[in-house]
Amino acid sequence: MESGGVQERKNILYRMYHEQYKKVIFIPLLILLFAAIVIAAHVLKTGDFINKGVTLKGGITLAAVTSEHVTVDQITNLIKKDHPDTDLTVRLISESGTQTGFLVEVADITEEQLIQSLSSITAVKEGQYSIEVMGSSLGGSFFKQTIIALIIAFIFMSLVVFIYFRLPIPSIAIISAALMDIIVTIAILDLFGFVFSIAGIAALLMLIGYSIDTDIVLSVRVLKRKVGTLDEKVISAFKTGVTMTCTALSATLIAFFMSGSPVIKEIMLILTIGLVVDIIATWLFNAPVLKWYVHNRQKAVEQDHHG
Amino acid sequence: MGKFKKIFTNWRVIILIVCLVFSIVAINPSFEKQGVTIRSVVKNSSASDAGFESLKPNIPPRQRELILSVNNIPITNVSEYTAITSDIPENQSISIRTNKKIYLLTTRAAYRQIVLNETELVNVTEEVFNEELNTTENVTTTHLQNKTELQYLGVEDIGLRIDERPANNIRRGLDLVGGTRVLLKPEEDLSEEDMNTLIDNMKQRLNIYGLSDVTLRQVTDKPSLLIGQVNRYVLVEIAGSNVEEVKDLLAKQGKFESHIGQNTVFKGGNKDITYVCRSAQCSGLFQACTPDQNGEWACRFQFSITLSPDAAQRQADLTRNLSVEILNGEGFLSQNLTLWLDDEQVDELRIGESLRGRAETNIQITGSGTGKTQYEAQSDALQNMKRLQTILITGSLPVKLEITKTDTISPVLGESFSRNILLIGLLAMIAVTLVIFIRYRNPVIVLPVIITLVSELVILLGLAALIGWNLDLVAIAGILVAVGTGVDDQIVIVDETLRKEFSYFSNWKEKLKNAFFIIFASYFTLVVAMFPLMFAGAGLLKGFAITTILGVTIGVFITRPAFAAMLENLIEK
Repeated sequence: MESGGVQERKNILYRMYHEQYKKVIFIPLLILLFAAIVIAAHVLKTGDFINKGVTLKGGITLAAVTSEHVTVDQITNLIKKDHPDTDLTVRLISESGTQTGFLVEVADITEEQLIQSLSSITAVKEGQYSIEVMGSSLGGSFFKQTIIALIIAFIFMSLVVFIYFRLPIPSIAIISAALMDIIVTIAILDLFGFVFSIAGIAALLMLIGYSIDTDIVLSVRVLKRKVGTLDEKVISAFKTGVTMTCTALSATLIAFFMSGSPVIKEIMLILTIGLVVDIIATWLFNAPVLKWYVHNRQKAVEQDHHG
Repeated sequence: MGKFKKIFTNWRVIILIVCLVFSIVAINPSFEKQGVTIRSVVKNSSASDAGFESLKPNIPPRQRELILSVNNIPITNVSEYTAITSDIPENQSISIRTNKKIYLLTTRAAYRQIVLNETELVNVTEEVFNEELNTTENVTTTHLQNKTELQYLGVEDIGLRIDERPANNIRRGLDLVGGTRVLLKPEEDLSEEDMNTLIDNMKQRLNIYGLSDVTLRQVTDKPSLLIGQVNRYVLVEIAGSNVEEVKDLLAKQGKFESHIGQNTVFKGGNKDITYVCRSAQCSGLFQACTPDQNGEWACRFQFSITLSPDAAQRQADLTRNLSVEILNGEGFLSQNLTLWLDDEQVDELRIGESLRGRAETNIQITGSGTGKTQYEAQSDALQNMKRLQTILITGSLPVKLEITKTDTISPVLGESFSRNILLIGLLAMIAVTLVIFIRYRNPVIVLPVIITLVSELVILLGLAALIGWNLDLVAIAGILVAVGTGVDDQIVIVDETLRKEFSYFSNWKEKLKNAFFIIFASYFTLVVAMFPLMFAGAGLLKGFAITTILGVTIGVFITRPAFAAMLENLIEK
């Protein structure tokens, strides 16, 4: 089953894990530092660590399906004409690359006023749209609740990991890798001005689940398998883990490009970015840390025998 | 061939097959095209008179009554039904054949009552309690009453709300068929029992109004999660989009009172009001509509109600001491009857002098509607009338509700979303099997993977059909997560069992134990992660959490062990 390409890859991995593993850790740590700076800057600028959409702070989201060719400017002007001071975001929606409609997120005006401003567009006039109206107090409450849910979920998962492995350092490594995944993903999304909805925060939770999976495979193989050298175990875990990530990525990428639903697109984008970051968090951080830990443990055992 | 026999006799595979069969039975797919199903029956229509029954909205779609033919012409879809039934003149007999029996209906003419400006003298006989003699006697008096005329509108709709024949028992939620979701929060904090009373009251109001395709339930969340106070909301879901009507009906408390001066004569609800007329004989538009100087039209409506004896007596007591003023040759009492809705005055009626001191139980209620055209004003007036009638029948809601969130999804969008999701699901499955094939290069592995993936999906959908769950965006997201972990777990199983390095040292059981150790670690972390979501976001994320937890549980205990068994028998020599 080993073809030439895989053999070469194995050699690079081998060198990386066998010789350079202590230095490899610096890459994810640097990325984490950069991410922390990005998020801190965002908090200073906007007061929150993410951009909140309508479902998290109140307002109206209108998604219309239309084959009419519309532009972002066109729609923005239609609304600004009647309400020049509103906080407004307009995006185009596309399915598999073709434009299928548009999305408007706006606060401070009523549903009727929005429909009125857009009534010149056929899709709006004929009711071919979905509209979500969110009260601002409910939006704020949702935001608080889902963030608390995220934190509690994280704590619970950490507890499960500790109970399962009962070893402090490997457990902390797994949890740190998952935490790193979330932080870097949020930083990347903030850099691109991505706007979160309540579905987005649920996606972050899904991401933690998926990213811990690869860390668990790695840790179980390294800590509980009795056969094979340390490096062999890490590399075999790598193959399993990367296959898992690739299957997930293939599904999320397809769903992201093909779906016309803004909610699905949001969830899939967060998952895609998160899964790619997970590769770095698991294999460039968690793996070297584990290796370090096992080496130290072996050294301690050998010292005991000699002393 | 021996391999296959071993696979099918393995107990894990048998459990899988049994679950699959149950699921397919629950989903109950059908490929026939004929007929349309009845979603609901309009009250007091030709259909309800003929014996059509309106069933609860939550029964499995495939159990609804199916219309097969109208007047012996077979029907295959909604447009054919509409075409045939809109063409039938009034006072005609129609025979409708369903999968249960044959019904005979008679079409009716639809009328609207217009009350004219002319008056006429009418004899009215009623029972009056004579206090002196302590008996009730029949008294005939003449009243001055407005002349009425019945305006002919055409043939009345026979009153069946229908849908295309469903292909399976899976209930599609609002995100897939279109509709409205309204989240309401009571302005005061209510206990659980009070919330249940409130919801019953709201259901009654919606039913009487005529909206039967509605589900109402209580949802909760906790602002600080897991501990402390609970926020309670009411979630209303309606297929079809009647946002404005629902808002009008539910967001207003509907406190109706009529006053003379400062005193209350009667209130909405069946304690004071025993009957509210809703038929064309005693309710409808009233006088001609009038435009004002801005070109806006106003139309008036009128309907009669019957007061309870107590309320009528109260009116008698309050009017006894009023003096009479003469206007245009008619005598009216010095104070008017004012009508109040939610503490705002909506109308003022003059009281005829003949009512002074009399316990009159028949009262006419009037009101108005406005619009930019006469037609708009008429529709507005009729809608206001319908709402007022509903409020007078059901009384006021115990507490005022605030609309905190509304979602309106157009059916067109819902339809395109459904098709899109199916396509994406198919392509994602193909992509995943492709990646697996590239990694293992062995079709013997790819086949069980596909079977397991599809099985998980079918069993989840079967469970949804069985429980009567609505498939909406949230549930679909949960299914995606569950099936996604399924693929990951299968990869773990394959790798653990096929590792060449280990095959000298362990047997199959050991390898599976190792694999499932990993799988259970992932399982517990995911379940524990979903748990806080059950308490967040006004119950909207609860569906996601529950779907995910159920999905992965079915996976870990049913489908993935079966996958391992299939693999064992296909690979092992």
